[in-house]
Amino acid sequence: MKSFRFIFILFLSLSSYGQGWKILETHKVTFSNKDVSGTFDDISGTIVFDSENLSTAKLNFKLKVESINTGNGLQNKHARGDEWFHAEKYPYIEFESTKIEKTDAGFKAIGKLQMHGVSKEVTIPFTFSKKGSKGTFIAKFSVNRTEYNVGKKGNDVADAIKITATLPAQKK
Amino acid sequence: MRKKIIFAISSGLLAGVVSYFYGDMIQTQLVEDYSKEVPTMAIFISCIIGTLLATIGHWIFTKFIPKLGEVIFGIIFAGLTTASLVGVLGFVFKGETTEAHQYIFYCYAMPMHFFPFLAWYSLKPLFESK
Repeated sequence: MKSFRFIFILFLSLSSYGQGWKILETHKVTFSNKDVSGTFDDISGTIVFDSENLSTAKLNFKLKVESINTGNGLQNKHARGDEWFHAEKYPYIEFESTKIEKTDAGFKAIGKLQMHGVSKEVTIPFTFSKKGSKGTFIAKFSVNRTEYNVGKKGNDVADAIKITATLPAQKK
Repeated sequence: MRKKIIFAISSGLLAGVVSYFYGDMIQTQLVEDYSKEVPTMAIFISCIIGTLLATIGHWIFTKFIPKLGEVIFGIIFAGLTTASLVGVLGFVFKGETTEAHQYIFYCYAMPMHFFPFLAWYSLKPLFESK
């Protein structure tokens, strides 16, 4: 009876912790503005998300700077260089949520975005659609690259860069 | 005039043929395919347009600057051919491509930009008026 109670409590505590999701290989993170566009092909992270229980939700992502792909080999090399992302010194762009809230359009993740050695609090709006054991997170937001000292201010590339992350995920 | 047009088209065709075989060799050896980005027809058309423009330019320079026209034209033709490489360096692939695909494109497309220049000067002696 004691062991049954233990298992029951364990089950309850695990279910209240939130639903874990594994990011699938078909993910896509794109960036674009009128001057430049491309993708980050390598993203990893942990997703704990239950739309009915947002207090336990957590989104942590790591984008590998080296995986940037603009569609032009020379541009890629330039983007990884010290004038832009400085991939050698800052190999990852990281986001760690502190709070997830429901909005009219979906959800928003409030947290710290770290890029090029600069950390700032940002709010990332996203939607979530679920189909069976799979789900898709789609986030669309803008980043001002100069706030993170990425590239020089007033150069050929506009400051605001639109990011779209489409992350298909599978329940763990 | 007819002779000049035949010269322009035949040197363009020669450049197109050489470009086609060169491109085919690079793609086969390096196991890459650029047929989507650079269709064969586009290679031939751009080569013919290039040699047509060169022929027109040559005619203008030699007509209006008889003494130095030939030299000035040669320098400008070589300069523009080299400058056209900027287009290759700045070429952005749409959709998903590997970095190898993007880098090999430079050695695929860059030499091709010189073929109209080479073909034009190769055939020029055949069409020169005595």
